[in-house]
Amino acid sequence: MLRRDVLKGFAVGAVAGMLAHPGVVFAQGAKTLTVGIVSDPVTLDPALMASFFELSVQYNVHEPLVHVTPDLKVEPGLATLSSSDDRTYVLTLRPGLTFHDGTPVDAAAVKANFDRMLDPATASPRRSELGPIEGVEATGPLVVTIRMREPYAPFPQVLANRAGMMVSPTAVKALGADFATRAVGAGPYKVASWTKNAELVLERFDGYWRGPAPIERVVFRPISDETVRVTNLRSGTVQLVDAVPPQAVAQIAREGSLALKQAPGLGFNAFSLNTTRPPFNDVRVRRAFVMAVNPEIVQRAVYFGTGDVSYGPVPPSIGWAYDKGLRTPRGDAAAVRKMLADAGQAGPVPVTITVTNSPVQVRTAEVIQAQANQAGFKVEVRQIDPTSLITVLRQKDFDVCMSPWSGRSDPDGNMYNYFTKSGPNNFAGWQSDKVDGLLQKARATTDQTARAGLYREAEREIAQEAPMLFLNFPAILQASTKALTWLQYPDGAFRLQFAKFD
Amino acid sequence: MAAYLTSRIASLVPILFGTSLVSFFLIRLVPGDPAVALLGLEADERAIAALRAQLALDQPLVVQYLTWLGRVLSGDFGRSVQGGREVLPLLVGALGPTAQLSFAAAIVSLVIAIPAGIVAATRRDTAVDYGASFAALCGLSMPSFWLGILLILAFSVHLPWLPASGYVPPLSDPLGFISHLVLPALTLGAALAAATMRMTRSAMLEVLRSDYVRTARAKGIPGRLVVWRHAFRNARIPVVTLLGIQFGQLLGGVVITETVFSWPGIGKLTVDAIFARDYAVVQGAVLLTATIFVLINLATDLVYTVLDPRVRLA
Repeated sequence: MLRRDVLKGFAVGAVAGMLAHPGVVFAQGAKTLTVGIVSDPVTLDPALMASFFELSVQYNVHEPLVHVTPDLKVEPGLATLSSSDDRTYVLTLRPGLTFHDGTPVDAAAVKANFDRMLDPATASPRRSELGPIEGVEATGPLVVTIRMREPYAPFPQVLANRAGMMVSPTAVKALGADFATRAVGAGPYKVASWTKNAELVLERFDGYWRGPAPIERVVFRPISDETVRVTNLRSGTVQLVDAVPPQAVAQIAREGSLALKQAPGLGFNAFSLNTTRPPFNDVRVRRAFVMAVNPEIVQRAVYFGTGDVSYGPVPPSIGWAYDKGLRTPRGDAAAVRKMLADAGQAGPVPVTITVTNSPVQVRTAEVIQAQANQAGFKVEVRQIDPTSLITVLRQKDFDVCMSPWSGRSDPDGNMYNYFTKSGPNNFAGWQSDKVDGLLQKARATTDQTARAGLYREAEREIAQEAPMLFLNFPAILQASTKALTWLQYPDGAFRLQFAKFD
Repeated sequence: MAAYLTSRIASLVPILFGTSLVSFFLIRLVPGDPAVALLGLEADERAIAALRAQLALDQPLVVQYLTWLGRVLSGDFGRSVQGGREVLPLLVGALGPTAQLSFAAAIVSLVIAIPAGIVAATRRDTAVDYGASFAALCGLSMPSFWLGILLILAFSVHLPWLPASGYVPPLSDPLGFISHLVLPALTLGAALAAATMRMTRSAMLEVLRSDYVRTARAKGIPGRLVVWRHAFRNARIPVVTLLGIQFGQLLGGVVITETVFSWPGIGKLTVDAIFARDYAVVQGAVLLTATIFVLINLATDLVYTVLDPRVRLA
């Protein structure tokens, strides 16, 4: 599957290069923007969304309480956020706002949203993101006060994200199970129609708090094959695409009618090492394996030079917490062999790497395999489907398994779930009192410099103990026709209220 | 005839019962369940357990099956876990585009394959025959994702004549519908044409060797008339059989072509549902596909009686 995909990519690239681009578009006038996205959203309900690629659609239908700028500063959105002490947050809503259905965006609506996300029966993944909330009260018609059991520093960034997206409580009640497909929010666009696997049509919402968006209609079209997605952009059938494959970047950048944008992302591509069973219950073998793999080679071979090499979970896009000096020696096969011998491992150490059949992940696994095999491991690659992957990770039925993360704008979101002892994403099964303590402390610390110090200390300990193999911070790669002006965000989600045709 | 039809349609009951049983338990043998698939890697155990209870996945399998069967018998196919759509409208909505694409592809295939097959048979072992066979081999071996991308590059990137992807309902915009249909129908039709052409050729060869064709020629009937009136009529039965099988498979979904052209058909819907462990959709799709297969086989048999009056169904 992968090889075919890669070859296909090269073949099509070559053919496309030979054909001249005529620059004619099929756009239904400059009032409609058609966007090629990776997959049809599963749900338009922000309380239930779980897939990274849904985010692009969500920010156009739903507006978070506060807005985060492309350089991750929190600004007022539907509301202004203030805090009187480190456990109390006050949201003051803009007056006169409504949801798409005319329901007022007031304190009662905001409280209803929090209650819904926090209700265990909703089964919302937002519940854990919202942190140690003690109570949410409407303390005025437009004022909501949120009390925390303990300080929770990531909270403002959380409110700028999925958990801050407010939906109409009236529509939730009226639509029931249909809310997922006909969501009613307060974002710049409202849902007009949605044909599964064909197109999701959004229409401009005139009551949007920033004023009506310049583009009247937005059509999201799922095009899962990366090569076909780019070809649709070349033909003008779509005018904006998400997730450009790294191998197509150089070529798109050369095409006069297209514009490629890339930004450092928030997420990482990393692999969990199962610390609960041999061989990786031995820290010496873990260190040896991590040392065997040079992330710079992964960056060249898999990411075609895009993105950033990664040695830990905090990406350079979170500038205040990124640790430039975090580096461990890599790629020295002789040293790895010696480490394995010192650890009492005679002969090649058998290891299975589990990945899904996504082109990037299979290529990554093959690069790891090649390097580790030279250094005294005997690596086998196992491919499974994405849902089986979740089961494999949760049951710890692996030696090495891909555990990529879409990323959050606060370092807590990239570390807490992975490295605390009972974190839901602690697939490695690694139990460190030290790191657990550091992450709890960082969460409850409000001073940014102090927090950065705590995250750096945790990252160094993680690098030493090697429960995960970090490889890359993938760049956000998106492209459009030249005629479209739009803003790119490090979380990769489109906010099309800022897009317009020249 | 009426008795025959009744018995054939009645045979649907055990077939559907069997497929429902197999599909129900088979999809549950695959690791992972809808709650895990829906909430993904980022969810915690409590959220998954809550959703499992909400979806009644914590009940014994037999109870789950009987509950589902009971609802299906009363016309309620349930809702998709992924997005909460009702299963039956979802499936019927996807069957329309697939049927339209299949029909168009079958026409493309027939227009290419029948004349090519006949010509190849009448000029057996000439350059024309070899050429047609070679083309058929190419058609069979070309993967449809490759041909699809090539067609997009040719007719929507290089020559900007047709849209590269998407679907427009025929009633809302007939011209738009056709312009979106052309490339996927050609992609799919090319692969079908290859098999149909080979089948036409071999059926024709057999008939052309038969006594009555020799007699017809001996009587001095012009060659063209012999081929079309006498020979082709009798070569149609195996071709129709093949078409019936092909059409049944097409209606089950043409995942790759649907994926390449963002065509909202039942194939992609079903495959996505399998990956997402969307049990209700998978089970509904299997039932629907099984029904279609049985009905198409029946239709094929009925067509025989029209094509060959000697065939009696009883």
